[in-house]
Amino acid sequence: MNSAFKALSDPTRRRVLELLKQGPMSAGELADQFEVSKSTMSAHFAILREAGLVASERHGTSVVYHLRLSVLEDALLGFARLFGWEISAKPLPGIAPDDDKETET
Amino acid sequence: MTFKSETPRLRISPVLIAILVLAVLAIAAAAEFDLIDREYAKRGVGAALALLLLVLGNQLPKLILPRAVRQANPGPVLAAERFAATILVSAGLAALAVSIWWPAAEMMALAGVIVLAGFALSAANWARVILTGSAPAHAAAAGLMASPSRMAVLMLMHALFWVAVIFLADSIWGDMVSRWLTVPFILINGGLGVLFARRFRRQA
Repeated sequence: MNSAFKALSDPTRRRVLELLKQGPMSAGELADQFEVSKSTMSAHFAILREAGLVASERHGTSVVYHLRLSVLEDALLGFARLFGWEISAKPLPGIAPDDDKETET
Repeated sequence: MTFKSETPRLRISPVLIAILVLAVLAIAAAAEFDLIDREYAKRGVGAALALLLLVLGNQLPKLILPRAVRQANPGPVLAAERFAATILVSAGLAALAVSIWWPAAEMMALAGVIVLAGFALSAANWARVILTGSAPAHAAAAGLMASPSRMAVLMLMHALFWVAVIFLADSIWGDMVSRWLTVPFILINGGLGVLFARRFRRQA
């Protein structure tokens, strides 16, 4: 559960989950929605996958992501979005500290 | 095709489900041998079954559909599953609260009605999805039976449905009717078991 909290604490990752609610999307399609580097997005995807919130599947050269939120995790996502919940944590490896700020809406 | 996110966390659920089933059996046995008060036993069994529904509903959206089913018509099927999961979790929470706090006389009937209403709403939504042509019936059915874990969840849900029916019948008509209701449960459950086993063999 701790990894799920960590994954949901970031606005970029929450936005990725919201986008995946519309249906499976490739890594490229998801990355196009954000103004961050590919390596940063890869790190975000890895955290989401590690938390079990998304599943990935290779289709030829692209990787397609699927939503895998339980009802409880979906409710947590709703709370996090509602209250702008963020956990102050050390910058994660591969994620530049200021990268995400551009994506907040 | 394998998914890259089969995390160990998912293995908690089968253990939790087994613990809840064993808890129900232990409470029933303890009540039978007069080790605990019958009212507490009823409340304990109701609470454990409500928790079981909650856990199953919560995990339902995590059971990813196989590629063929996803490609056939994933959106409406996934939406219907997510709706059903949310409704069943809500029904589980409500039944849990009723099992713990509601007066004993109406507790079983009310918990039964809540759980049955949850199943009815989920089924009505499935029917709407199929009847409006959003997803063909075979895609919806294939989704439910797409993997062994999905079949296991479906069988447990089916058992919970009949428990709710028996709870309600016991409150209205008494022991005799509820005993007879075990016959259709056993027959339908057996039929489902055969159907799933055949399907699983074909998939393998």
